[in-house]
Amino acid sequence: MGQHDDLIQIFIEESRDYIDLLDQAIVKFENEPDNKALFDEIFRAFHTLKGNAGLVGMKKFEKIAHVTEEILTDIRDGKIEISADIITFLLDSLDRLKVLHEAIEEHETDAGEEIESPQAPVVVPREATAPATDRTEQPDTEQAADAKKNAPAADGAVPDEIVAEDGSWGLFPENQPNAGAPSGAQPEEIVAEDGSWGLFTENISKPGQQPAAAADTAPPQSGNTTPTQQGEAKNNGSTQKTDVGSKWNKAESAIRVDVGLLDKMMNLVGELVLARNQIVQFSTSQENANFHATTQRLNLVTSELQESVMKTRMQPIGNVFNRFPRVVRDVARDTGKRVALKIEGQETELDKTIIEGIRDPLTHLVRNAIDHGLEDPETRTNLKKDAQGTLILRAYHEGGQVNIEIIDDGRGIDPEKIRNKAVERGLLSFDQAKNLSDRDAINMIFRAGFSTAEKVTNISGRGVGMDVVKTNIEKIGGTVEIISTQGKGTTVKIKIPLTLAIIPALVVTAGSQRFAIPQINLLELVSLEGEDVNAIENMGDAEIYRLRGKLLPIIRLKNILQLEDDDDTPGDTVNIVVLGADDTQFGLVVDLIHDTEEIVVKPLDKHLKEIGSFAGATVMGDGKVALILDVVGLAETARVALEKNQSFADHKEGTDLSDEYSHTLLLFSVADEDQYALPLSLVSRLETFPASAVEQAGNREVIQYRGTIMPLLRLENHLPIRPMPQSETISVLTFTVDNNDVGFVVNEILDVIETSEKVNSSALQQTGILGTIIIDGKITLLVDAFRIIQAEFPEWFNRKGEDIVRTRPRILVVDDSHFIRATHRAYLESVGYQVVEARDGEDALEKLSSEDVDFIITDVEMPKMDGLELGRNIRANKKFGHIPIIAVSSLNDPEKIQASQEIGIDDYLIKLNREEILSSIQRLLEEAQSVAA
Amino acid sequence: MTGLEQDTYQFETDEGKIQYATFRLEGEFFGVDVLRVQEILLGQEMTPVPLAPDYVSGLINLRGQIVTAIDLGRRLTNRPDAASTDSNNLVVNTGDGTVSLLVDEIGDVIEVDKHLMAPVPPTIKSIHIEYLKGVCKLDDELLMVLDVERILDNRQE
Repeated sequence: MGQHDDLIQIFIEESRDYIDLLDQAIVKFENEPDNKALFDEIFRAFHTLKGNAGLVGMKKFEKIAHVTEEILTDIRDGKIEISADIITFLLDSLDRLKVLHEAIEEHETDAGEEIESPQAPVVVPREATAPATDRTEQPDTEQAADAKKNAPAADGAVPDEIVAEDGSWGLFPENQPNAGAPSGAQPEEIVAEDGSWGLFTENISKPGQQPAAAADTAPPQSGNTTPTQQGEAKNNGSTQKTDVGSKWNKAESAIRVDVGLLDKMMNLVGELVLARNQIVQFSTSQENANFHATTQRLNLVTSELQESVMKTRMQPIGNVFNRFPRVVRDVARDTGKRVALKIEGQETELDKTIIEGIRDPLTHLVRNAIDHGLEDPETRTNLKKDAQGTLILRAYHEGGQVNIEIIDDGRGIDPEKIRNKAVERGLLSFDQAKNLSDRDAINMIFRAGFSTAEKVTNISGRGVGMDVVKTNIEKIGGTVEIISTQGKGTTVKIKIPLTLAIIPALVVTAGSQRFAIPQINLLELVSLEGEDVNAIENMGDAEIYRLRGKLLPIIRLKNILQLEDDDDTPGDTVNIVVLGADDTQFGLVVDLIHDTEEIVVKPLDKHLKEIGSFAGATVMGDGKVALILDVVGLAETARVALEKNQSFADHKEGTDLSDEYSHTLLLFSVADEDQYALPLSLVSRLETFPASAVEQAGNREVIQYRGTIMPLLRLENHLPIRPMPQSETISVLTFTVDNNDVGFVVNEILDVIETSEKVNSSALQQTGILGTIIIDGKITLLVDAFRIIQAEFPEWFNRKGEDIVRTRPRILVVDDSHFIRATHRAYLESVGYQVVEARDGEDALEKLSSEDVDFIITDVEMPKMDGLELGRNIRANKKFGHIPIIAVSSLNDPEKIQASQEIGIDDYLIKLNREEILSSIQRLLEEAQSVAA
Repeated sequence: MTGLEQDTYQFETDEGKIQYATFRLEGEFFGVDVLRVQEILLGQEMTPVPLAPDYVSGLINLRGQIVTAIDLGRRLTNRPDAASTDSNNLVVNTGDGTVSLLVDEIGDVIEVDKHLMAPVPPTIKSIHIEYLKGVCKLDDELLMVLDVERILDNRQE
């Protein structure tokens, strides 16, 4: 029985190849009905399947293959025209064979399968004389039984012939009649003689066999047709011979290996790599040169072995892609859509396990793309699109990863619809949905409990949501993302690793523990030394670093993993590992960066997987265990942490909002998507000019404005930002400094908003930038317009040199916010005052004792010493107790206002209002002068 | 759930006897089905897992296999301190793979009559009884039999 089992195994393997081949070939044939070679291929495949099935006694399988072959014979003979129905019939047959194939794979028999031979299509016979119904009708059971009874007789007639032609085959035909119980010894013999798996292929090409079978099952005219068929079969057999020959050559250089064995080899190589790593590490502490040489050799051989074993598991992605012509055809048919499928990069190789892992997700995505993505031909025509939709399946290597894209040119995804649905499904609150970027909204469809189909269709609504697709892709270490343009189409982008078991990884240390970071996520390493250590800036509760002008969020590994900090002192070096996960980038601050190593990924127990920050663990060269960071998970953990901080901050602001000013900000953009802001109170006017009105005067752009020549400044010349694109009109923000007008050229004035969002300015030292503020989730730079103007026109700020000190009053601005101070400074200087700044009450007292000040503007709520305390101190001081003070605060607290009056603060202004403050200063200064006089 | 089947089988060995590998934790006497125990190790080098539940001591390298070490003291009792690094590792096989249980002291393997097994008395206060399968009334003390599958079950929390 053993040999029979082997035979069945071989049958299963080989049939799978033929079924796969047919799947593609039939669909291709539908489009190329005149392709004779293709037809022959289909014919041969069915023929082979029939013969093979007969050999191993799979009767149902054989019968279906046989019926199909009959139809094909008629087509070949020109008796039947090729039509869509014929193609459907062929595919239907193939599907039935697939079902049986699965059954055979499971039970090694097809006997238990309740499956009928396919219903032959109604065909138009070419020969009027041929009774079509009889010809094409499937043989009923009785006929099939007849066939079996007749088979021995038929076979009995041919064995000699077969033996004569090919000595090694003589035993086989005898086997066929009793195919259900083949004799054990024969197959072995055949395998031995052929030395290949091709025996079935070879066998079925024997003339005689096929005609015999054909004769049995084509009752009425079989007598007429058989001879010709026989003749043709012979021809056919000979052409097939050459084919088989080429197949054999392939067989000689390739063998089938059990995947289990490959997996085991992979594991062993993994162990070997570990041992190698340990020996390499150990060798560094050894002196013996011989040992070093051997280690080196071991190192090389291991790497090569590892690579080779990994290669054995590589398969072209075409193995998966090849099924899609059929899938697309079926889905297109069912949905009444017209689809042109383009497959690119099917030779791209991937690890076998990964190939298997992406099969289902890809199928789902392809179905989805046709069902939901593409419009029906009518709609497409109305939209002036090609009635036939295009679906592109593309695979390519990129940076040690394989990218797979499923691109359709359909209707795209409406982010608004997704937002509504997300709210409807209770996945998001209304506000969350509102603040979601289009891109994030679109990717919401991967969330559990989200089905985009308005009505669940048979095609996509199979109880499998996109969340399952995502989970499955993530299971094999991949990521998936959707990019969609409404009306234009959707691209689903899948990124997956080449292999899973052994990966290169960067080893880092944080809090005295080592971690491995998959190289695939690694973008670059940044090391900050000396002064640069302070280049990491705070933005709200988050930290950022400017990497070539881009803001890189910083995550400290120690913080995010809550590692114990053994040394709290900031070192003189900060190591940032710049990582990319999905499309976001962030910098991971670690204590030390070590080498890159090949590590063997070992899975974590399920209760550790749930942490989400680790992708697995590995044994390091010294035998210790290190955790492998899951970069995507880490980013998510960090985001959650940030959001928590954020909401905490929000809450804090909510309770004592009055502590903050609400700023009225003008939002504008320079290059396409960026966003800048400045306090509206500083801007004199907003104007729009045709670009042609800009003139060149000297090396400066100017414009005629209100009867004078106004110089124009471009922000991109002063700040590290992208230049403004060309446009027909320009927007100009005009500022007035000491009666001089100057304009800032911007691309677009976006909005004027009132916000109490905290301005972050402490760490930003760049000239021309006041700080950053988050508006609508977007990081917005606050432009220090007056600093930029000063850089360009210093003379406006310093006219008359020495006597500035006495002619222009000096104002001390006290506020703990750099932004507020800078704002005060901006408009005060613009009207000709000098400004001295102080951070809080204490600082102010110090400044007062060393500087000559004519006027004080102070905040009320400040750390260390608040505005009221400062006022009290000033009034108690003999030297500067007379200086006028105004308190500026959004804190409308009658008690404080009263207290300020009692202290002797001259004015209490509720809001940072330029006009009000300026008039108050003027009034109080005049009063002070008159008192002094 | 092969693990459970194995247990059922365990209870019905010849002569109605069950063998337990015993250990002590916080002075209490515990037992695990002896066939589940793979090996006993002393003071293994441990890699802590950040953000893991507190009853996870870390990961150990068991001849190339990475095994999670469970701080049984924290899981079973309300002991506030983490297990010391030189704790005994009782490596056991569960339905979900191999884990190492950190215990204070390893005892003998004892054979107990099946009929001595009793349900866990709900009056036991110092032990989280949901992780126990039952108790065995021995002559001089009570042997608490661990339900190894449950020890790893997160849903217990």
